[in-house]
Amino acid sequence: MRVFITGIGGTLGTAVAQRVEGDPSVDAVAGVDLFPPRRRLLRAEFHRVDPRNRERMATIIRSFAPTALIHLGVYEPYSRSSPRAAVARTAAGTVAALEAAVTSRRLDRVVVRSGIEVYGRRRGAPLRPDEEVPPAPSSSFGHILLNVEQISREAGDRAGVPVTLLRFAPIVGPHVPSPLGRLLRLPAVPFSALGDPVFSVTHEADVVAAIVAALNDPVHGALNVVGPGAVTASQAARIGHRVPVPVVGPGWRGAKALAHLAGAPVPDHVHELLVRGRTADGSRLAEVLGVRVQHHTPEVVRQLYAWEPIEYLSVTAV
Amino acid sequence: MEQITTSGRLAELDPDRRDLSLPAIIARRVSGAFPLDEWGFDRELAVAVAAVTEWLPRPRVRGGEQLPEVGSALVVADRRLALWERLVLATAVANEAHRPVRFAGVPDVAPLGPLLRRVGGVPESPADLRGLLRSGEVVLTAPGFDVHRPLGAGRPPEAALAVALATGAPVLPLRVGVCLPGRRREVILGEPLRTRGPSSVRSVAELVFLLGVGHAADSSADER
Repeated sequence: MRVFITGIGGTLGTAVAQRVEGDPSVDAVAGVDLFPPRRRLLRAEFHRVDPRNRERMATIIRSFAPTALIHLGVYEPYSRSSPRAAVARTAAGTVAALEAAVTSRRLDRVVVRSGIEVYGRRRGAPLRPDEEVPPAPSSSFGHILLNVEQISREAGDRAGVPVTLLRFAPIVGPHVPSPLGRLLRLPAVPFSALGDPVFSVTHEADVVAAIVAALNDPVHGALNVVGPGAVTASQAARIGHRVPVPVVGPGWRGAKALAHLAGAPVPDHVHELLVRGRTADGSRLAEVLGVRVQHHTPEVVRQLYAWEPIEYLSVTAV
Repeated sequence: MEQITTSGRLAELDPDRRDLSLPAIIARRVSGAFPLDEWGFDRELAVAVAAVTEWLPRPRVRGGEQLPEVGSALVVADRRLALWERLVLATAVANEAHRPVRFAGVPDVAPLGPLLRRVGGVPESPADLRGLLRSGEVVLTAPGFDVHRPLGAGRPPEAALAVALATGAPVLPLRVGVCLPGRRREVILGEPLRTRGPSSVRSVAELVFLLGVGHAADSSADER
């Protein structure tokens, strides 16, 4: 198996690459990203490319001729890209990667990173949608993900290969760049005084396990990956010994401006999560892929705040 | 013997292991360590609400033993119910059956929706009902508003019944009749209608017929 990973420089991409490298059935691993890998890779070949440079992306992928494509080059607004750059990078990178992988003619499986934001949280939308609920995004990130899913499905249909769409709940952790994680780690955390709805999150280890399982056992269709249980924003703040701040209506404008100043800008999908909630039914994952999510949402939130303190070594002249 | 390990704290997974003393509950509220499910249901708050309703006038439930001890079930009232009636009946049935009973029909509007979801309310959407019944929950629903039907009768909850058929959850009729203050204050849980197995009900139309929903006003008039 020749595995190509887009977005290999991110936390997830690097972790997946490390797992894939250790698999003896994998002949070669390569990947592209705008950012260099976050950990040392032993076998994987890394190419630093801006996804908007479609020609270079396509050339690298065609010359590698992958049999499996793991598309993690999906950029969340305010994660590591501005909202505008996130749209442009994701759209261009998805089209280039899928197009090049399909035309290389050796492709036999595709695994795509998506998110439960595709279900949207319009009024009347299911609180805990399963995979049977048709996507109806109501945030810009949801639309980005739906676009990625549509391009991937079409490419998979053309190549006649299974496309596994893994819809993750927001991935948070002490070392995961995420707008939700940054907001929850502020000294004061805003929450909706009118509702304080629940949301679920996922641990990066469960995300990596699901991606690797989908790579080894390709399934055509969508699967939700969600940490069981849920928390509210005010509850998360209390777990992390932060100050929960109730916010209503126009107060969100000020709260978002203050959060932005404090280094945690709030994109619309995170605002929607705080005001309308966001969970999904992840039970099908265990039935189809045999992967049982190990980390419950409250535990993932607890780990988010368990940031190891920095220990400074005292240096003395000899 | 296979050793079962879990990374979650046992007390979070098993509600029976929780300390339900008042100081422990208050400590959990302050620290944020109280459990909520994906619909926002706060089990400890529901226990507190149930304790308060013990002191309020509420209907007596007969036939609580019809409710399965474990596994999913759909309880269908025989007439249209207001939101507060659904909450009161769900709490009364839960007290009788010693297990949480969720009530469907909560609007997706803040602050009412999230508040009612804390005490067991859920929206009427088929996707949410499907998720609840697959998770082994008991859900109470009732006929919806229909201008073409007699007062109180309402439109049979066909979408909810279709979900029960699809998931194989038994359907229990709940005879409410007229349950106003000063009138009859007793509701009766009927025998479960099986939706799985050899002698099970096969269609929504058959379920509607067997439940007798949509004629509550007439039947209550007969009883009077």
